Amino acid sequence: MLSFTDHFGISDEKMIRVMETALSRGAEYCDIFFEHTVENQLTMEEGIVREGIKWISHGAGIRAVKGEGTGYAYTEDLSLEKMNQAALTAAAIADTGASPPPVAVSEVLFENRYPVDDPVTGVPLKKKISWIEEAEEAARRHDPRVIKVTVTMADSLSTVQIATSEGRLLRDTRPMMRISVSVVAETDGNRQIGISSGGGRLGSGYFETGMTPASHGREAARQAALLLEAVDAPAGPMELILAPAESGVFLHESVGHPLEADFIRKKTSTYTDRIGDRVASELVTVIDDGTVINNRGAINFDDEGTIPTPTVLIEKGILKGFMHDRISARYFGVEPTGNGRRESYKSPPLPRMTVTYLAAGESDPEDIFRSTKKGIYCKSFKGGQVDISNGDFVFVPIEAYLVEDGKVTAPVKNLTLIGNGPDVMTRVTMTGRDFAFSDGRWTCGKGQQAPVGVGLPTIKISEITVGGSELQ
Amino acid sequence: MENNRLKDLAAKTVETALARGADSSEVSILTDTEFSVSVRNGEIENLIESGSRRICIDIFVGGRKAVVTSTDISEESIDQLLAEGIELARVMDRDEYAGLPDKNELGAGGGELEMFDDAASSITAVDKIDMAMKLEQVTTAMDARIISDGASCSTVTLTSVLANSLGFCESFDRTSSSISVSCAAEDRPASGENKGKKQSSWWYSTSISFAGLDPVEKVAARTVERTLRKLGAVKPKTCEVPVVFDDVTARQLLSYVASATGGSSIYRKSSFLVDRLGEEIGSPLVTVIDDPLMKGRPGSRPFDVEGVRSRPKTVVNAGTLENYLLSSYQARKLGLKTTGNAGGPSNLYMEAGEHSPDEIIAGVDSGLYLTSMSGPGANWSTGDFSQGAQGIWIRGGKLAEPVSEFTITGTFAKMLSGIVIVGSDLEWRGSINCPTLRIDSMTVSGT
Repeated sequence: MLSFTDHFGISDEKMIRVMETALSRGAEYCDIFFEHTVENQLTMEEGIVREGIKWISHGAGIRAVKGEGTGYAYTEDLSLEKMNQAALTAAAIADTGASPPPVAVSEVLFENRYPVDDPVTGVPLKKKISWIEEAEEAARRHDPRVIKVTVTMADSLSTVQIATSEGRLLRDTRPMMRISVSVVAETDGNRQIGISSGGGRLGSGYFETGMTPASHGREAARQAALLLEAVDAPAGPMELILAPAESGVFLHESVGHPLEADFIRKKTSTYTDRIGDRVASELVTVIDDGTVINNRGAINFDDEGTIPTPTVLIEKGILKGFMHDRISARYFGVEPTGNGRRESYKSPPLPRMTVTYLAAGESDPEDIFRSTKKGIYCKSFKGGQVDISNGDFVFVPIEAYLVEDGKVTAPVKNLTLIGNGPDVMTRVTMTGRDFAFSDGRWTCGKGQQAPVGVGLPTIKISEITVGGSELQ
Repeated sequence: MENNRLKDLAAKTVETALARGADSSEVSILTDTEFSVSVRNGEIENLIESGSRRICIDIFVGGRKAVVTSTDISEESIDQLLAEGIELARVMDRDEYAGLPDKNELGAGGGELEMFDDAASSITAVDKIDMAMKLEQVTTAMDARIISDGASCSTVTLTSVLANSLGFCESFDRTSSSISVSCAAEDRPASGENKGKKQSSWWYSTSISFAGLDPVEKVAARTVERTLRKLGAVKPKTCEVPVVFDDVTARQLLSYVASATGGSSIYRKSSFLVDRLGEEIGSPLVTVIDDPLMKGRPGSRPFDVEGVRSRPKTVVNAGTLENYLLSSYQARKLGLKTTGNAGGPSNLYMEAGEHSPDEIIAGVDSGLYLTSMSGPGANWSTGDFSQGAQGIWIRGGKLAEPVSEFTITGTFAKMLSGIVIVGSDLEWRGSINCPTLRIDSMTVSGT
């Protein structure tokens, strides 16, 4: 692994000079975000490893902040001249004369939430290819109806360094890996697709966590084959049971996004001014926590240098707090929560989720099924979306079933679930004791992409609108 | 000048790749300069100004392919990249379809495509900030209920350079300007738990040239209209009804169909249009064109991302699927010819029909006027279609109450064959455009 000086070749003294420039027109605060990222991707299609991609990104973003205003510029040339030029561009957010100079930087230490001895980025290509082949073979052998298998192995290693005008200097190396298998199964002209993927801020040790390349291959094939048997989903309101782990996507959309503090500061979220209100049933406690070890959404510090701590958003149904970046935290006079994240050096940070989860309850999952007369049970998901202002959110299952008189029956397809966050959260009537985090596969897109984690126990929602095609 | 320097660098990199052991290679260099400002409540919230660049090298060694790319275009970095690329290519499997396009496909088509605004460099940062400020002011002044969620103005200048080992070496420049504004309004329901409920919307204009942007008054009016007409929205009953897709949702639908015609979806058997070439896939009212040679449009280009000369093509002709959108690799996999669509569709649109949106609405006794769709449930890979929706209920040919928190469900096959009217309102706001459409019947799932 290269050292920080090798990547960025910039002394503390030079960083201070660049920050002086960024503060030269009256900004209250500035920071420099250095990034060197190497990403690799190998793809196997139709039995051949057909393409290898290596992607290198290297640059620095300079930000000057005044109140709620941000001036931002980035450069891929880390010479002092170019960095100063970028700093001067960022400085233009203010025009009230120079601010006090930046404080001398000193390195801030933190606990490492993703200790990895062998990042996948350093694993020999032959080894990565053997994982891919193992996944592909397992998928192909699982079911004779499998006609196409695509396997992608992606890894990255991102070295970041942040210097702030408040004197903080933080350095981190962020590993990430993800294997993804996509399977098409076909019978009598009916084609269905199954997907299985996972990973996290882990090395090759990921494949010792219970999931192997072959298990992802089999899982994707199982899903595709299952969907060949699926019937069209019903339309109308009914009960909903969400399986543990993956169903966290429901949480991410329904209350996650609307509790990101930029929407609160701008007064466009439906949760604006509602701290202290009951916004969910008392079974609901929601936490955002960037410290979950090796999780895809974990961060040692956010992209403006704040070390995250678990943030309680909803406690037993009462709205307790929001996810802040530095700007929103100052606006509300609270401490930043470590949610200021950015896609790369090309973008200023925004309040973003890290690992968002709903805490375990006390119900036996079997009781949850037993109590359900007519509903839908969802196990895995394609994704979701939310309208922040009115709270309406959708999420789309991949693997879902009908539940009839307490029993899981036919698999269903072609449905979107839609609910209103503030209404639906009051209808969480049971929470299981079987909490689990999702495997590392989720990426959130809020203008910028960010890897995130989710988690949830089995939960029951007494009514939600199931958007299938079959009228009841 | 700068383009010639980048073209030289690209051509030289191709040569070096061959010298290092590649048997063919393609090099692209992309540079961009961006400026964007967003304002809210009369103050600048974000001001971003920067330039970036990236070199991307495709290396083929004996039918094995690697791609290496970096933001560092120094000689030392490119040398390192090439070495890694060749090493990477050597461990790939041989792919009989891999390689550059046929030489006779390469070239620049269409003459002057008017993709560059010569006035771009004379538009100052102050002009752009003023534009965003004015857009916000005009929007909030239109109605006392409007809460601003900010307005923005941005400009981008892109240079695209491409060289390959068949002797191709070309470049083009493109400019793009856009403005947008978002706003919200309180929509507190009489009952229920959602005490902070609001409705929001946004609108925009985009153009090759700054002068070609829609007037701020027009953008503001559309944003305010789209926001206020949602106030008091109710959940509709579950039923089957005709659905009128407005130009926004029709465009979204067409973009899904465009994805389904893409070569990678076809050869991966992940499209509802697999094996349908030459067959009827929609109503005779549906004609879809992909035309990269239109002048001054956002998707115009003289060649695609692998240097294949651009040409217009009919994708769907009066309901019959005539072309997939193919790169040379995808075409070889399918035993077809490239359509110059490496990198995707260019300017893709559905040809306009004869009826205005008002006439289309007037023809519906009871149905849905669909103004927004959300979520990843439009599964063009299998043909299933299910989306979160918002809109306005149509009663007796007139727009009645706003509706929200429901879904619409159907299949692409039934929807395309169920297009019974195509509107006359084809407007160009991006690279994919579609007029208002009426689809005869879909399932609405609400209460």
